[in-house]
Amino acid sequence: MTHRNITILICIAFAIGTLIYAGNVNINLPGLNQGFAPEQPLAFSHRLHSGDLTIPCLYCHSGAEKGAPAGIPAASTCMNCHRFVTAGWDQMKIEEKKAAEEKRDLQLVVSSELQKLYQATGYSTETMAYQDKLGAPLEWVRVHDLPDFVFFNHSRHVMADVPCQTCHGLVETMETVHQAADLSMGWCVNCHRDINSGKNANFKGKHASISCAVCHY
Amino acid sequence: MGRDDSKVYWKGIEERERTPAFEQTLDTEFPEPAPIASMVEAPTDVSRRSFLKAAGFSVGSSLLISCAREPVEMAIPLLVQGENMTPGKAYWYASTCSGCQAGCGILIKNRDGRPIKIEGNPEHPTSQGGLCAVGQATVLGIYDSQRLGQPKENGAVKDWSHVDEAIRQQLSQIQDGVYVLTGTVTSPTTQATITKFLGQFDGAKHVVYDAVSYAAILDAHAQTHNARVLPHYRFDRAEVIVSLDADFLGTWVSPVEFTKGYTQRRTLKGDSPTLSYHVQLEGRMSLTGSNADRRIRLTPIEHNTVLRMVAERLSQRAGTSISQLSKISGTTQVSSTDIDEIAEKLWQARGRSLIVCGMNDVGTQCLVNAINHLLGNYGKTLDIEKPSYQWQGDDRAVQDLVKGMQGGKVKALIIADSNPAYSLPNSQEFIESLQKVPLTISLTHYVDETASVTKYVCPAHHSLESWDDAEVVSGIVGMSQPAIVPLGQTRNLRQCLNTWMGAEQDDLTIVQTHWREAIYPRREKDIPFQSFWDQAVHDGYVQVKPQPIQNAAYRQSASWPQAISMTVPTGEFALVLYEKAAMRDGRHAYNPWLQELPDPVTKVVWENYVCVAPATASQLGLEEGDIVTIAGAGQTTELPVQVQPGQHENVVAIAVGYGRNATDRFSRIGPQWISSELTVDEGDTIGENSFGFSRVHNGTVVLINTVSLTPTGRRTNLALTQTHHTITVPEKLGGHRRNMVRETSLAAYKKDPGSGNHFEHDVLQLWANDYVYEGHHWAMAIDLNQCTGCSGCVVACQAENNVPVVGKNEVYRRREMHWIRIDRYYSGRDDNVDVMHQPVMCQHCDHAPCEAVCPVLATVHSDEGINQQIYNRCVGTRYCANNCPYKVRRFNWFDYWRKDQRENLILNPDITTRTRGVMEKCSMCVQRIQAAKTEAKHKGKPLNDGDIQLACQQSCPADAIVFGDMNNPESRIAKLINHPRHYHMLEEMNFRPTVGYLTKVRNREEESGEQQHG
Repeated sequence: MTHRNITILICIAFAIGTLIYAGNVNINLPGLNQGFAPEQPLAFSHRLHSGDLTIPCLYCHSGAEKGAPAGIPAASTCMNCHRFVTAGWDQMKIEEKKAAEEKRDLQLVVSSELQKLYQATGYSTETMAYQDKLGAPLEWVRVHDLPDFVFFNHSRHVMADVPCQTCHGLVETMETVHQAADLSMGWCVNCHRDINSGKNANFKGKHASISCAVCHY
Repeated sequence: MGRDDSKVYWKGIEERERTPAFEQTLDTEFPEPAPIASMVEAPTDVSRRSFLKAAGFSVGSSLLISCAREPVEMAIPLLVQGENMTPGKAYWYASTCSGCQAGCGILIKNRDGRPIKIEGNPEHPTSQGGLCAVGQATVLGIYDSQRLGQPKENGAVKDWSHVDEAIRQQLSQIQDGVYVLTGTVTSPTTQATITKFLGQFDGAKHVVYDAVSYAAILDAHAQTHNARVLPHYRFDRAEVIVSLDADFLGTWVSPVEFTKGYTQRRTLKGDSPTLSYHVQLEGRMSLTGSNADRRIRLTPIEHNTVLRMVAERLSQRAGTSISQLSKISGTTQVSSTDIDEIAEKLWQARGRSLIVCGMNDVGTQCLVNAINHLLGNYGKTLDIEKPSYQWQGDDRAVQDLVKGMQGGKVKALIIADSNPAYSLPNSQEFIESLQKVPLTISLTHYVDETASVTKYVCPAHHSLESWDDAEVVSGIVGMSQPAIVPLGQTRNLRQCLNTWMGAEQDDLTIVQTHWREAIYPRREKDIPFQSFWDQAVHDGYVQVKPQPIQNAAYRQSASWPQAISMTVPTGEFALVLYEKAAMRDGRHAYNPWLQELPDPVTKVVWENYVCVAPATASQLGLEEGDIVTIAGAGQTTELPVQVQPGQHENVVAIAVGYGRNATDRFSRIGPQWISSELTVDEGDTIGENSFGFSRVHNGTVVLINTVSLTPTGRRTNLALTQTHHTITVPEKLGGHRRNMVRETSLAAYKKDPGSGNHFEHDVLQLWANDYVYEGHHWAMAIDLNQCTGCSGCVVACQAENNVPVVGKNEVYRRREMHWIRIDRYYSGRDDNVDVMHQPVMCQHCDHAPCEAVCPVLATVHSDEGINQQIYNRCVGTRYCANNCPYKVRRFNWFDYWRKDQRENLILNPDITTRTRGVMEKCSMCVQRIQAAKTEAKHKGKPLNDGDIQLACQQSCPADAIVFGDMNNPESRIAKLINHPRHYHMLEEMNFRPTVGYLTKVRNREEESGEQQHG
């Protein structure tokens, strides 16, 4: 009798354990991370840069038209503007208002997020010049991460005039980027099939291969 | 079926004789039964209940594991991005190969700051785009985590400042007796630095030592032509080639350049094609001999006799006499009709012929020079006015140095790029006398045999980490540029010497300064220095005015030293030491790709062995793998026997370059599992060092000797790939042989270009309109007449496609992973075999048998005719491998990637690294096809024929492989497919492969019998 009770007890414990474990994991097929929106090391806003300021996607992700990876821009690309723009518009306005109230000259405002960039690039906001030593690079979390056995080439799609939003969603409206599409193979292949069959009127006359070895080799 | 083949091809004697062991390997997929039975007890009473328990547990646990979240990966961008550099794109840099002193032109593929592949530079004037296996494998050395990274003093790691200070201080107290010992220095800048460094001291000397040296050729030219030079051989101009034991397609002087030139003369062009005529006289079976039109077996003792007889006949015709011939005596078994024929052929092709000899003996080489002079070949097929600087070793100077060291004359010895403690015939003497030298410094990549006995050990740059230059042939100066930041605290010889003499230390400045002073004034076009330099860096070489050689003319009355003579006592054998195409003189012993590259002729990996003729083996009662004691010259060693068809009965051959110290680092290179065995025992070495059998004769090191063989009664298993993946029907199913290779003779070819290739078959078509390939239809053709079997493609494929190294024991279990193998077939009798080399990779059949049996559709056909293998879909049933008629599929029994992350940096990121349980095979470099297509799209141009070069094709020194779109009627491949010489392996089976072969045409008179059938 006790033997049976112990068995039941173990089974219950196992079931509860499984539930607790399952609660913590994202039960998904591997690679399907739709909606994944991790916190990034620096609170970069695509809504601001791409949406409000309408900076073209390819300004920063210039690899997209040259090769396979679109690439995260090098810190030096950010510094093209942020050598001079050290804080957001609202922070500037507050400082302007404060300075007017206190009847003093404007002080340099450096946003805490941009400070991380300056640290990485070894830029001193006091002297407005680069120091000799570089810091550690920023480590971004990959949002759109295909498995290693998939070889996706951005440039082929950019050359075929596929808008970035087709796969990445409306990034210009995202404060924090999340994975919009499920990026599954079926999702890729359906689009290719629609192009070949003419169902997708935007790419008339174009051919999108559905051979396995186009992506898998 | 049913008709007997008139020509039978066999890969090994076991196949020809159909031994029971061989039959068994045909029967089963694996040579041994799976060890499952021994691992688990036979289940006797499995109840339904316990079965369900086990099943439930496995399902539950695998479900839980698969619920794990996908790992989060980071993306780390550059801080400062260089101009015109896109991360993730490959960039190519031109440079010069450092695999041997031949200095071929290379292109280095660089991905995100890491060199990952080396290919031939098509524009380079000597190598012309070819690159051998060794050259391509050098890239692996960069990521070797055991490479020396810090200087050492008496074995203890020190920093550079300490070592520099100590050496400088000791050098300042030495007035004379400073010696620099190096391998051949082809770099003009390094040479100038050495000269400048030694200029500080009295009686200082630079000694050049090559382990396998060509000193005799240089010394002989000093005798006969008044100039100590190595001629620049022009095999591309030679219509008749006679070679005595010179393996010029495999290892001799500059094999890639020679293969290019040789195969240019082996190309069938136009309506009345001509081929060069190549006679090889040799005792062992060399790669070059396996390609010869006529192969005559000859012991090394007979070299001089044969040469004398040829010289006599030629001088008769020329109406002159060579007085020196009277000194040469001896007999030969070569028939006088053969000698007549050789002399006749040579004489007919005066000025278009070439005779070369591999014997490093001055007397012999003087004789060779006299023959080449009689034939008027100087200035035509060999050039001594613009000589080669590839090998400048001076054996006499090395022996003098050893004597000087013993006598206490040498006060300081700096050794670089040379390993005399390993490779000298009197290495023990060298090591002992090194103790008498107060200051010894070794500049090296590893603590090798020499570095372990020197006081200071300085770590040297890998050649891809530093600037360098190389004048390989007078007037052609190669340029090397760094492709990666040095991974350790390494330096090159120039930096060391400059530091120790307190001069400029920045290497780029040193090289540039020398170029401005010495190379730039020799320019051919008048351009500013910066343009001259930039052009050289961009192209990887520059052509300048050659340095004139003064008074290099034949001297009739020159005195020749006594040619080598040797008597072989009864019961003993003439020993020939030779270099293997992969291991060369042993400097590549730490390169696992080269260790696992099957030898082009013997097909053995991870080992050296003693090659004996089949007749000798049966006479001594020896079988393949039997260990014998080899004794001679006060030296004994134990090696396994390899039975080599085509070898002379009185000759045994052993490869040098094995038995290097610390090669037991590879003992666990293979996967570790329950039945795995070590590749080499801990504390042991891979193979045995055979340099001890070499000896000094007349001041040069000759690689022949006499030895006796004694069976030990023990045996070992040679990891021999020769009959792996054999396509033969087992005896019990009829034992029918289907010949995979086809050949004909030039005479027959002239009458009928399709001779030897007439095998019409009724090929059925199930559907009237089979699949039509509308876009591209990729195809490949391999010209068996061009292919020399050098195996460069095997390493090219390995580097491109992340093919793992599996270790000796796994190779023995027939689990080697190479996607391309070179099948070597023999035909004929044991003593007179013909050899064929056939590269075999996935044939990309349009009716692929593998595709029909895959239960998960992991292998399917693309709309461009490629048989695709989709790793992520493969579940590892291995049905496809069983059903593949060509046996080209490879199964990942284990995860083969290295534990050491630094060693994984060599992996090509453009292709998937396969995991355990997945089938893989040749993908026709689909990543290269994709890259070329993308490139064409970027340029907005259509894809042209030749835009896509597969890895195996790109570096082929023989241009044997052609790849292209057979739907394009103008492409080279479309024309080859319609050529009468074109055939498919197993055509009759209707697999419709897209990889085809072109018959081999031997330059022979005899008609080829209509052989083979399917």
